Amino acid sequence: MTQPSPTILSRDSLTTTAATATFRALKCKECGEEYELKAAHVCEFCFGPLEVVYDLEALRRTVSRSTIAAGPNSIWRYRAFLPVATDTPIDVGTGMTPLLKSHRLARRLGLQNLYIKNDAVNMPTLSFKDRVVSVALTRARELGFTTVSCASTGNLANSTAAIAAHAGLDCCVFIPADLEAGKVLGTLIYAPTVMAVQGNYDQVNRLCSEVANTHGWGFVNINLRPYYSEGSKTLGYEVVEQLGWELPDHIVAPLASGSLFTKIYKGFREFVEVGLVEDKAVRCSGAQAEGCSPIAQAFKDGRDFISPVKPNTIAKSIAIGNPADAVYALDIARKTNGNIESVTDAEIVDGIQLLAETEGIFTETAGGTTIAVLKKLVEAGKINPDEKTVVYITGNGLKTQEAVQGYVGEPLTIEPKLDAFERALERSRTLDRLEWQPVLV
Amino acid sequence: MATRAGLKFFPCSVFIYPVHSLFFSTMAVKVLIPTPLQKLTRDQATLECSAGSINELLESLEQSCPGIKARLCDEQGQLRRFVNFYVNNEDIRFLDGADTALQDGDEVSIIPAIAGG
Repeated sequence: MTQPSPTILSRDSLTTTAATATFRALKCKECGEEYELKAAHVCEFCFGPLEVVYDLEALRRTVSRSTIAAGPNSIWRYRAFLPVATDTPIDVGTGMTPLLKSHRLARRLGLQNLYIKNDAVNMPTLSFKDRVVSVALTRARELGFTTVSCASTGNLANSTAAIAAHAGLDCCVFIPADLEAGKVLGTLIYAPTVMAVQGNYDQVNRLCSEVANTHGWGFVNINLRPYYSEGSKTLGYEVVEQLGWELPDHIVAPLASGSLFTKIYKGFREFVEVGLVEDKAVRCSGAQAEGCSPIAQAFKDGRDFISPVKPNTIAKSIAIGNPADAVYALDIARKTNGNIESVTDAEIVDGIQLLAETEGIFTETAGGTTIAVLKKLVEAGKINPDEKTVVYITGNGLKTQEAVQGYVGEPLTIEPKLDAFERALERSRTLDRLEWQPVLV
Repeated sequence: MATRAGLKFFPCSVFIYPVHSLFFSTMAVKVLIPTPLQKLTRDQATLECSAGSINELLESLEQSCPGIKARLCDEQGQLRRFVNFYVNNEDIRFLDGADTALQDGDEVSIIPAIAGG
């Protein structure tokens, strides 16, 4: 790895087409203090989060449904709503993933109008993280960083390493040491420096904040976080466009830090504010694993702050015990008349299997959590069967095979003979899948 | 490498002990300062201070770096909700909060809550 550049260019010095940029400042969500568009994520006065401010008037003038439709088949069709100045962002085909009208899962749950936003097949690394990383690394390049980094529960490390490789940026990622093998291998293959930290994600995150204080690296989810997090808005934009320029009635999404959840909502609101879609109430509901559910707990208790927890769940990708955007996620769920629920690890595995068996989508534990919470909300009468409900599947099950090992049975191993096949077929029809024997029939 | 991590023995550890430290035992602790506060610490990422608890540490820091306490605490003197303190890698919310005791050689990390995810 080459030495990182500590040089941060001012926006004025950018050689890209800054004149076409629609974003103008960073602003503290708490006290309103504004900052120049540099690599910074918290307010110097109150430590509140910084968020990108756009020129909505300019957006109204220049963006229309047809200009968006004429754009690339990726998140960059929404470039005007993303905090990059360049006309040539890092485009690895991220985004525009399928929005599927569910039939079999919907029928199983008793819903009439269920849609699945399938980011299990997002490119290039099969999770929604490719959206945020594409934005963060494009911005990192604009700000003059040559080394990028992240604190990750796995998917983000995959994505940062892959897209950094594509962009020719040096990369050093930090992950908890006990991550699923698929997520570790799926990072190492891109040849970044990988730090496997002996601790949980919150400890990884703290360490990265300390490293960010002293190294001039672009940490996508620390000092580049205001830009990075905006990438999740595209999950809102795409659903609106794929529904035929209409808002859904209800969304269900996983909650880890809470950032994704708040940005989907922000995406909906921006499209309304610039006149791209007619306004209507959208209920926002969130999903957590019971073994790491500080936001669900606060929601249940009526608190507007969380008590941090030590994660203990198979849903490692959303196991954040000290979630950064919890207060904002709580606020959105409450003001939109949504819910935040948690489910057990057993329910998460059932959720993974249910989605696979009814829709042919193999999701990871975060998706299992979301499906299980969807089911729980339906059973509790908290989702109207006629509501246009969109459930967000944010990652791919091939990365977390350990989670379902032992729950899906084994193949029937047979000799290459017709009678062996017939005996095995009979067994498969009379026995439960888990009773099949992994032996020759 | 643009590192500024060199440990600095700030004047507070030598000259500006809090008054109460004359009566109670105080501990030398290392404090990791987040980037947004480094303007107040003369660009130092690490300081050494003397304090027997997080509350005392705040006073000690304020004496050596005037204005820093107002950044870390709200008008009621409570730690701001977007700042996390860790003592030897443990979040003080799992310990005794601002009353968490400090031992000689402890490392206190001040981290903006907004990160990760």
